[in-house]
Amino acid sequence: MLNIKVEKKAHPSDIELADYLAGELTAPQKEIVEEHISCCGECLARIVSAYESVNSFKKNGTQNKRKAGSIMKKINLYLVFAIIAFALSFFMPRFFLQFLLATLLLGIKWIVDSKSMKMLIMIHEAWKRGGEKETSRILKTFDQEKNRRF
Amino acid sequence: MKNKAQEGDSGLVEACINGDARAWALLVDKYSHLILASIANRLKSYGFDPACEEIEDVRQAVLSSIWKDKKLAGVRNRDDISYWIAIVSGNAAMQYLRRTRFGEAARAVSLSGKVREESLVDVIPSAGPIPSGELQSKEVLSKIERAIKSLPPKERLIVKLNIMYGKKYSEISDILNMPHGTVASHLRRAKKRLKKDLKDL
Repeated sequence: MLNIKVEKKAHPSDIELADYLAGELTAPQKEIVEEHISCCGECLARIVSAYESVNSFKKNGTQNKRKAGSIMKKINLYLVFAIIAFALSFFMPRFFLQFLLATLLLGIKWIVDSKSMKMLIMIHEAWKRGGEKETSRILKTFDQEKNRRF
Repeated sequence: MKNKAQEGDSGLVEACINGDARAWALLVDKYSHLILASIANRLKSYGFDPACEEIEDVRQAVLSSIWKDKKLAGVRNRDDISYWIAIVSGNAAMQYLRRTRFGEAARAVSLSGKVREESLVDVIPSAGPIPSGELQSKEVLSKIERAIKSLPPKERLIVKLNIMYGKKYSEISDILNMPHGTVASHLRRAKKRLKKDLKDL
């Protein structure tokens, strides 16, 4: 375990408090910190505030990932169904036109929902408005967004 | 129990310690929300409602101090620096409080500002709801403070988390890294002791 000295009376350092919350202290070190924070309102407030903030931060991170995951699933499902409808149009010639229409509609829905089409539409509009300068600005925005996600 | 960070921080942290500006930008991006939330949380816990610009000022100060003073080099648990970031940001918020217009009020904060009335119902024997205003009496509060001080450290800590911060068993268990059942039995024992000590209230 980490070899640190936690003084009984002095306020624990930021690192000691962080390690305490992360469960990284040994039992005796933990006891010393607990004895301090049970008497020191300031240090207890620091611990509680940090715990609340990190808890909420980590919960939001999981929720955002789940949201992003489910959106990707929705978008890919449109593509999957479009392909299935297209294949069925050959296997069931009686409903050829219906399946072809379904393919078209699902395909359009997939394209419109996916980011790449949004980018193409924005670029086209930007080009009409302001030429090359405007287009490169739009491309930069998408690049930054991609990097931020990474 | 505790959630681990989304991805380990150690690679980014090591790169930042070596002066990698790009790694620093990524770390800032990853933890900006946490820094802002920690600052706001700390200020609000003292009853202050800061403006966005004030929170942003403190955030800038935190980031600047971490980078310029190379504070990351002192961090031991480099796989997950979220608690350290939250603690450091909270400290910066308190320093800001003391330096600025909230200074005097912040120094005056005491137990009276923290006790949650509804949490005391089961330790102060009373026939009905506690009359409003009575808990604000200095004598009552100092009796409660004395009774809490006389508890053993672990029980004192658990009682404070429950009564002053309104934390549930699961949250206390998470903060103290203690099994749920142990928290429950400590709290039961402590409340029994407090009821005895505060029976004439």
